[in-house]
Amino acid sequence: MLQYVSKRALSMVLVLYIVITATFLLMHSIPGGPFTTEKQLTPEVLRNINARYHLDDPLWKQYIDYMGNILKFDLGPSFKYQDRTVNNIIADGFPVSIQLGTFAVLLAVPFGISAGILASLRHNRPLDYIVMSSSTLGISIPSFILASFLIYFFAFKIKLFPAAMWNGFSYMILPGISLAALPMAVVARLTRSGMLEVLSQDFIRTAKAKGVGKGLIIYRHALKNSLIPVVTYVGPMTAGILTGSFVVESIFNIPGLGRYFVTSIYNRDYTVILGITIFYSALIVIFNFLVDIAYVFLDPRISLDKKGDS
Amino acid sequence: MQPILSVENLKVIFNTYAGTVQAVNDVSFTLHEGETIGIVGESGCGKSVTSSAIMGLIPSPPGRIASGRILFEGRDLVTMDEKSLQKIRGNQISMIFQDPMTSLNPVLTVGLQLAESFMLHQKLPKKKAMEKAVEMLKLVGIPAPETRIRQYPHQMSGGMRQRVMIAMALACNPQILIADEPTTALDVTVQAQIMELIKKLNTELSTAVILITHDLGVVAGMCSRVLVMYAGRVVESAPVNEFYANPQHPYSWGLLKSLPRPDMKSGTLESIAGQPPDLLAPPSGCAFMPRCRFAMEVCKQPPAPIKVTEDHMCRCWLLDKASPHTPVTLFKECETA
Amino acid sequence: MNTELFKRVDFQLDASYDIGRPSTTYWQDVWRRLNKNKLSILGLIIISFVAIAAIAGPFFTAYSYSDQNLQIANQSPSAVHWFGTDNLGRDLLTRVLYGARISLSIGIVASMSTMIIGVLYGGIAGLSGGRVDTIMMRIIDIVWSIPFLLYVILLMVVLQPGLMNIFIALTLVYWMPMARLVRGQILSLRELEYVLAAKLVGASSWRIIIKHLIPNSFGPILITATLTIPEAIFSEAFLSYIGLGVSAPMASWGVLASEGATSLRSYPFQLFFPAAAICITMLSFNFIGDGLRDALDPRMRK
Repeated sequence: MLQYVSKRALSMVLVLYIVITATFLLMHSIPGGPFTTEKQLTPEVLRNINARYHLDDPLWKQYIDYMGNILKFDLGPSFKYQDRTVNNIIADGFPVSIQLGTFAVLLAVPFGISAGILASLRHNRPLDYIVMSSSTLGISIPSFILASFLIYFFAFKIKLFPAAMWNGFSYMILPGISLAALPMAVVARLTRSGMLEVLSQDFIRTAKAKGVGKGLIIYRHALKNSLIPVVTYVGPMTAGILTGSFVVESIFNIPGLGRYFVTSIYNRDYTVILGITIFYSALIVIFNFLVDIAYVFLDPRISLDKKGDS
Repeated sequence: MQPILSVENLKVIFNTYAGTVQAVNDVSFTLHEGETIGIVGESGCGKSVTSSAIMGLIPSPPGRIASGRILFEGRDLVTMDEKSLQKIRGNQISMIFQDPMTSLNPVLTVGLQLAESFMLHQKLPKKKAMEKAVEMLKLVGIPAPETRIRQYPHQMSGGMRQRVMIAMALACNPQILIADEPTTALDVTVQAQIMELIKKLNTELSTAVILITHDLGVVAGMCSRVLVMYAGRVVESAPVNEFYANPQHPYSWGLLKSLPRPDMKSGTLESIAGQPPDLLAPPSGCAFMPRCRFAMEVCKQPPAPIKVTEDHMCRCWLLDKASPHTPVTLFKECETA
Repeated sequence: MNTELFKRVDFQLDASYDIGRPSTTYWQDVWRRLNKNKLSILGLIIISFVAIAAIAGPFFTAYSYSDQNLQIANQSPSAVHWFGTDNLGRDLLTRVLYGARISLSIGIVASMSTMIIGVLYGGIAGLSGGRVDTIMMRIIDIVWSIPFLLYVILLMVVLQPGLMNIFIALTLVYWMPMARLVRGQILSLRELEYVLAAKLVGASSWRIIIKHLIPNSFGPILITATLTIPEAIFSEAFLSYIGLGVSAPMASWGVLASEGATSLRSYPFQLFFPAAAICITMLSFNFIGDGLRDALDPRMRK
């Protein structure tokens, strides 16, 4: 166990190092540097700015400085907003995003799993078709379109929920649904197919032959097995909610990290793009690591040390 | 003596996209307390479907019991509701399956899977049930049962898992144990041990056993009666000695001829040419006719069951009064030729 | 009873009993099951319709996608402008039809190019095995740990918006699932007994690749390629939405939806039509993908 954890931790660091390096080089390969789009900068002003942000240093020196700062958890200043650092922006935006994201997960996972179980129990019957077609709809409607329609109907037409901003729970509902729709659909489909597969296994027949009732068969004998594919989806789901939050937060004008990220893309605020990307990457890599460990508790056939080798 | 189980004219069909399969057709037999009967036949002849029907485990859809009765202690299992069936399954009638590798739940401990029967049928609390599970593992000859109950199935060998399956099946001391090819998936050395175990428990606990197998050798050693199934029908049923000494159906004869015997000095084992018929479109007459070397014109009509002796039944036109040959003379003729 | 009936018939093993039922080939079987899946057939019909509309449609509309006429700006759908007009007075139907060309071609080109790269990369990794395989797969593992869309966004920031750059960015990222799939297929197929059997009878590596590996991994590859199309269309729409899509006056569905969303309160139809086009197309591709998956999955074969 310890061996596996240290091995995984090491590979996590390696992945992050490569991601940081690649993103850094990518951002610095943009022709002309970050201030070329600004109009009417005299060469002198430009030189001052470059000196202030050490952009006149050779690339390798900038890289070493940046890496050094990251070790101190300092992601540098924003080019656009002179008085703010990337750390400020993350500190502002992330708490909001994590609330919204958690809310979306709390919507997606329980509802998705329940819908999937119900569908599998009514295989090839109307309820199954309803769940399957709505989940196909769920994976076919991009979150920004769903968000726009939710705003149009629930905020403009029947004025049930606010259309934008971030002032309490009711502000969370429409963006939460927009973010949760896709993962909910995927979780429902995974649970359903997992259940269908497990329910056709020999050991379910054994349980039936023992006289186990339907409820216990599902709860004790089938659910744990069929949730294994759902757990593998937790990683991609986090990633999806994260990228989904870019547009959803922008549409609902929520001051979360996703909106700041999109704003920094509009502004070509390279240090912020770089910093937020690194922050997101670290987040996801750590999260995936936790999911892998959770996996072991769900499936006794997997032993961590073996898995680390494959 | 009253039989504890009697199957009467059982008919099971499966609806597939290609048509209706008559997997089991007009099967009848009885089972007495402590008795062991063997059901033999090739793959797909309806042996396993018959046992699933007794357990009420025909997957539906596509399968269903079209007609017939299965009387257990005077109650018909076919019409019984699911709740009452659950009380019988694993408690009074239980079953061992073919493949112990896939028949145990991989994510639950062996102990819990065993204890579950006690919790369900004897309403024991979990702790008590686990103690009983240890006892059961001891009974089926698993060493160090206290540690074994905390293990998962993948940590055990195939023979060990089949012992666990047997322990599970016998947990509530059932009146009937159905063993569906319990040794097919196991090593030959382990096979004998498992059969010994079933035999021992059969005598000690006086459990009636329905042994489903395609191994006539095992049947000779364990069973008191034999049922030979072919294409969903019982073609011959007889006490075991009578069957080996005096087989009547050409199919039974063929099966016996394909079995190696110690008294066989030389020669080659025979096999039955051809394959079982397609149950989607079974032949209108005797299903074995296309493969039968003694076939007659009349075999294109379905044969009726004929009593050879009081408890020896056979479905074959050769036994008809009008037939010029009897099976015995034909078999003799063949053997000398 | 008639003694004639009891005459022995000549014992002759009827050959027809050896074959249980008429054998169907794998692909006949797949087609039968796909045909039974009404939703995938519906999906196929809709996609064909959208494709024909995208190719031929623009020739039949009286307007150009770029001509602005502020006097007829923001008109609601009417007999003249079926889908209405946008804030610059451009005919929305024409723009949606042109958008179909762009969005569909992004989907198809991305699917094709990722398939080629993915099959080559995964095939080389799977067939060479050993250290080459390890290194090639480690590269994917590292890239895999971050959301694909984040890479595409970063690439687009560097490459600058534009149709060609979208192709490049999508291709550079979305080949990886295909590569993983192909490599996994090859590794598992190589272990199968019939491949071992083929090896035992002396089949050459090329024969095994052509006769066993390609036909058997074709199904999963086809499913993945089909499902890459809606994924790419979605990604492009997403990029357009955050200002990294194709450049004006060209407009993909994503751009149109993003423009429509800005005037959602006053002119909801400007969002409705492009959004409907995106959703219906994605839905159809997903139906086809699901149908293919069900039809090709040999474990479901009954």
